[in-house]
Amino acid sequence: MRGSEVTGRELIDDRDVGPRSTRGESVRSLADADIASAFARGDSDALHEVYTRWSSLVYTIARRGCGNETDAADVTQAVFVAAWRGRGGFDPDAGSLPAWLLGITRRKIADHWRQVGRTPEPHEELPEDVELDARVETAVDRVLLADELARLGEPQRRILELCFFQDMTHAQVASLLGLPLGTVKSHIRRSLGRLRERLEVDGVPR
Amino acid sequence: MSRVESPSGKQYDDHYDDETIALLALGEEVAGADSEHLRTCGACQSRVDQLQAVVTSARAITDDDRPMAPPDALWQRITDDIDSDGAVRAGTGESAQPRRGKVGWFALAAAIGVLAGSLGTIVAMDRDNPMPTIAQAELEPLPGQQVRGIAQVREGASGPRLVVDVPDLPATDGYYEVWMLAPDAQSMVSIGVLGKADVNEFPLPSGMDMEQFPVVDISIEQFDGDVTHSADSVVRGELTI
Repeated sequence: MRGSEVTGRELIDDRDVGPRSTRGESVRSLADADIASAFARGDSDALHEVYTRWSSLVYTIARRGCGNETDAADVTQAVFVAAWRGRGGFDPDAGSLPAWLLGITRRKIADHWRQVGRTPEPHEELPEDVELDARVETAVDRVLLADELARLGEPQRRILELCFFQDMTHAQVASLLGLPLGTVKSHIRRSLGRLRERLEVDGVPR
Repeated sequence: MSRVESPSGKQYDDHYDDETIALLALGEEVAGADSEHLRTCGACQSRVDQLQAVVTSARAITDDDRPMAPPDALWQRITDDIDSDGAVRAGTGESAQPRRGKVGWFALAAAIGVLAGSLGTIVAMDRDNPMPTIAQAELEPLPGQQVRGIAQVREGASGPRLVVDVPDLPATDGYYEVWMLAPDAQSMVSIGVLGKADVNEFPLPSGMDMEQFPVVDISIEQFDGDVTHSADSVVRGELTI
């Protein structure tokens, strides 16, 4: 290559750390961190961006937690109003903004059930033998994973969906998609790492 | 950890690699990966368990778990609620009204950059070295390619830097090289060789004219000693300020 002396490679290779990898430092995440900082400073443009990026997560988890869309909308409204009013309590260094928002979501779902004076009934499509908290945690995990799956590029997403939902082996996936075995294995490794990291970054209760 | 003997009798003295762990977590049987090793190696078993928890949750995903936007009217309800207690003080002097389409990200990034410069509070790649974004390019796949990425020019302490985020580049016999091209792709500057990480960062040569070379391009190069562009590009995108 031309001009090899201008390469910045020596500055970057130490960040190649395997499956946990560089997601936390990716450009997308940096942009998230910028938004989080602006939000913490009280920039209402940032509030709109926060809502644009994360309201679907909050709403979908609230829908799972409340069992219906009307209450889920009320909870989502309460979450973003509380987040804005309590933005001084958000510390960007302590964790991600979505993790903080989902912490508020958990509390607002619990408030909802406290207000209606009871815990969810079995017919509200929530398994009766599980505590509310556990139900919400299950919902948080699944919704985050569904979201991260949707963010995977192709063919990574298709590969994982075949493994997860069609119970195919990596060899069957490779054969079906006409991809080398090694490529499929490598995609599985990286994609599973990405899913796990998403739960670690955004799914940890705060 | 002690040396472990695989069924083939081949000796190896390390833990399972990440690909084996991932396949075991999916419940696959992996040739050469016997359960004996997992019984005796807590580290590998724990790695499998962690990923297996992810796999179990993922396999339970239903359509109800797929993120769904709240009703359109909800944002208005939120801003009404917030406006009622006078809590909104917009950084730009306007209140948080609903906007159709995306927020002007570049304007926002620029504003954040200015604030970061004065307050030094921005969380960036290096917390002690804020790097406001100057320009950004969406890297689109060229025909026959599938990967996408983002390139940003950021203002570093020692001059502008090009940050390239292209995850999931396919393996190649050669290597990936980053270029900045003129709009007609007839003249170009080599920026550097892509490392193995998803995100790579390069110092831009001082005096580099982004208007003359606004197109970020990543090509597959062979170890053929030819320093010119191979004309085999994977992704490309034009920087927007």
